[in-house]
Amino acid sequence: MATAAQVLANQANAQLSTGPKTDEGKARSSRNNLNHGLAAGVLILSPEEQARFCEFEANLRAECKPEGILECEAFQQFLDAAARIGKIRSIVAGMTEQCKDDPLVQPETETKYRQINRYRAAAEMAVYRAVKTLRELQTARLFRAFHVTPEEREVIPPLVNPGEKFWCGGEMRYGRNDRELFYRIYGAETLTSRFPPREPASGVHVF
Amino acid sequence: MPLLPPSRFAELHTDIGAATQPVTELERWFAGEIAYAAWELESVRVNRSASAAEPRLHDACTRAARNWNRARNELTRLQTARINHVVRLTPSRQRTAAVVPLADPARARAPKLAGPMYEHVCDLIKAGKFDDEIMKTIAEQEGR
Repeated sequence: MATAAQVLANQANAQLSTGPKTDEGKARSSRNNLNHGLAAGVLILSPEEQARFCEFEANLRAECKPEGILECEAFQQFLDAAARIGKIRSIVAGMTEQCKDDPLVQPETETKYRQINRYRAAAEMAVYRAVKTLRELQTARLFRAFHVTPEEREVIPPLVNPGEKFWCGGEMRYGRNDRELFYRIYGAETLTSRFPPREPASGVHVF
Repeated sequence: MPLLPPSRFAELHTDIGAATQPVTELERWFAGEIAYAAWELESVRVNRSASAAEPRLHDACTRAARNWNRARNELTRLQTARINHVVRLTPSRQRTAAVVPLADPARARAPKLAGPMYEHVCDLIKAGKFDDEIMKTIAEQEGR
């Protein structure tokens, strides 16, 4: 049984070490119980992985040419998810080396495998979503560069791609909201001046 | 339980690379995804006799097949967009489109008005009858 003096001394000593105080120290101690690192907000890569990833990022950035805050964010989301997928693969490869057997059917690896797969599913979903978003944004940008005049840019919101939104296979899509938006953008009067009417097809009446 | 040799992955990677011919970094990444999914599918097939791990094998098979298809679809879209930049655009437009390499020019076509809906709306505009009431009537007739 500790004496009162020992308890007091212990309490006083405990005040001398209350954990990390600086941001750097906190960041370091947050990695004390690092297992696979997939749950960390910032993915922790080994120096080799980091070098490979930097090269991949540089090549991809030069190739995809993301521009503007939205495209850059979608691009960054793709990169983050791709890095996670790469990390997961190296973890699975490590598991295979350790077991000298296929971790897919090893009972010892079941829990870890399942856990990793959850992260993997999320990362894969993020990859495809990000690429889709980036493509849509760039397609809208291309449409604006080709078909939207400077005056129309004043009224057409930047994310709208009228070429895709209102027209499908050369035929008008019968979507009420799309059509209403189209009229709001172009206006009923500009409709005829912009697109002169054609001879109506005989015998075709929908209304 | 059997474990696929690493050389098999390299083989799959080469075969899929030959079959898909990726050119850009992004295309190569998705080709790699297809190869990895194919490798997983093959792992599932060689381990099929492990009845104790059947639920895991089933999950792995479903996931790998889904990834294989998703990656193949994505690669198709990327390659289609890349080719459309060349075949659908004039040289001057190709230069404009070079800043948006992922955009598919086929999806950024000029709006073309066509079909009975357009004819009908034009008639209404000419007759000075196009207003909110007409929009409501159209919506009602379409059953919306």
